[in-house]
Amino acid sequence: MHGKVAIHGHGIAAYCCARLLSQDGFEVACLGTPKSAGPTLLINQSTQALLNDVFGAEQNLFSDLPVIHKRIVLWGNETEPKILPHFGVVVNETALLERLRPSYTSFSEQADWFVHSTLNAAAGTEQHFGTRTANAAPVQLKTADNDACWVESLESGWLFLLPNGAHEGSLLAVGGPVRALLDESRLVAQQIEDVGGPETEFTAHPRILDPLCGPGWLACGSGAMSFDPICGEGSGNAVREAILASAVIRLPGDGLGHYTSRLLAGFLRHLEICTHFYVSARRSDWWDSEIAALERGIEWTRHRLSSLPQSNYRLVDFSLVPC
Amino acid sequence: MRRTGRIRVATIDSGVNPSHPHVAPIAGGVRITANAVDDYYTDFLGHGTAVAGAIREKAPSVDIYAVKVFDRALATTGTILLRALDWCLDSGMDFVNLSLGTLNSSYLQAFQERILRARELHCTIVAAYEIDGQPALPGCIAGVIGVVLADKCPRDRYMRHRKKGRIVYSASGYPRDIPGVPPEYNLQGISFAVANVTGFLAAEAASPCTGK
Repeated sequence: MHGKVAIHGHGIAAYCCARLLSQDGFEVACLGTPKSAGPTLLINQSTQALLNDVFGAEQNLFSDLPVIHKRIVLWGNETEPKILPHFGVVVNETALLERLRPSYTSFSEQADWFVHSTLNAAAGTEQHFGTRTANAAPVQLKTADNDACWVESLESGWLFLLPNGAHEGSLLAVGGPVRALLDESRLVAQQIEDVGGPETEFTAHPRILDPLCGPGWLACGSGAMSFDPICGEGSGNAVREAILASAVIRLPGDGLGHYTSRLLAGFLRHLEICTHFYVSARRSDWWDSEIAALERGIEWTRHRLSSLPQSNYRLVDFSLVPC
Repeated sequence: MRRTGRIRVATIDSGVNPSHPHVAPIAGGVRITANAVDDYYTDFLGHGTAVAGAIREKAPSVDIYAVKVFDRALATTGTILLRALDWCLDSGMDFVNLSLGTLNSSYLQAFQERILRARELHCTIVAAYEIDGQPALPGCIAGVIGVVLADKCPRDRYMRHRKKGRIVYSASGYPRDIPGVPPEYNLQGISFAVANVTGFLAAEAASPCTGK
């Protein structure tokens, strides 16, 4: 045995860490209670490939799930929707986690490492870059044709409609309540027969823990940061963080600097891409204030990155190796 | 390097003519030789410019970077190719378009290391899957978007299918039309199938809720 790792949380990042560390001989315990309900996720191709790699899946973990083949997008000043190919699968988060849940051990002794994959306020201070929230609601769709998802920017927010069954879907409204934003919609509203309830509200602006790690502990997944859903990158980023966290724990040397700089670089790229999408959709004060917060985030993250020394490691496969 | 939120696409080729109307504007570029890295990325062959033009046609709003490894002929060394890939990874590219490849299997491990690093950095490498029917490096390695030629595929789409147990992509081998020049007289082939796929994928990544 290499040591003991206590992982706080039961999300994608937690289970990826548990998988990678336990197969390398660590004793791993996932602490806390699994969530009983989760959102509907669209898992893109690169995240599917990463999860299949991490879980050594001989058969594709996702082959039996419904596939989204196109994205229909009406964004910014476009007058007609764009139809783009897509190869994502639709899965409820809870059902996905059932597939990934590790058969881990538990232990009562002190752990050598702690991985916080849920927010641990004692570990650091959260930086928030924006105020927007998202409201998710189940919806009834007008048609049973369910291989397309829909994205639309509005005067005071944006909508994302993801079918998850015949005549059924999940609607995400960022910037306001579902019905209020649907009133502004020209594209998504046309696909919806009825809105169910209740709405679930959650944070949709980027946030990050500062610091991201310290001696004997690492923040990972939603314990480290959360992304704006506009990028469709939250799950993939959680897997990447878990791969890196596991590599740092396995490393005989000190990989905390590399961990911080890679996570900050990923967060910076997310902020840049978000800003690009938000600027291209800017139509009201709502967009302007969120763009200003994103720009503040870019400055903050660049400043943090500039104070870090150059990393002496590179991630090769699942391990950190000296440059 | 100027940082924007636009998707960044590097094309490893013969450079780019930065003022060509099918390509401009170019976000930046570099020339990689056996001994040096400099910013003389002007294209003397036309191949890299046509490749960049194919990407620009599909993805009008991305940042294109020219990485010049071919000078007076469409040939370079494996070592220079690896250094070009390293430059792309160090420079935060989202996509790398590699129209050509090598059949020399001695480079397998070196390419694999770059591909695994690309996974960490969330960079997608698009490359020719085969040369003359033989699997080519790095396009045939898992983790790379390997592309084959499909001349019957219309120019406005790409296809995905299984080949030897893995998914490969295919697209038309014709770049964008040049007014007055019949398509069959224009440059064509696997290079442009690769560029067309890169352009489609970059355009997808440049739109919301994609998760590139």
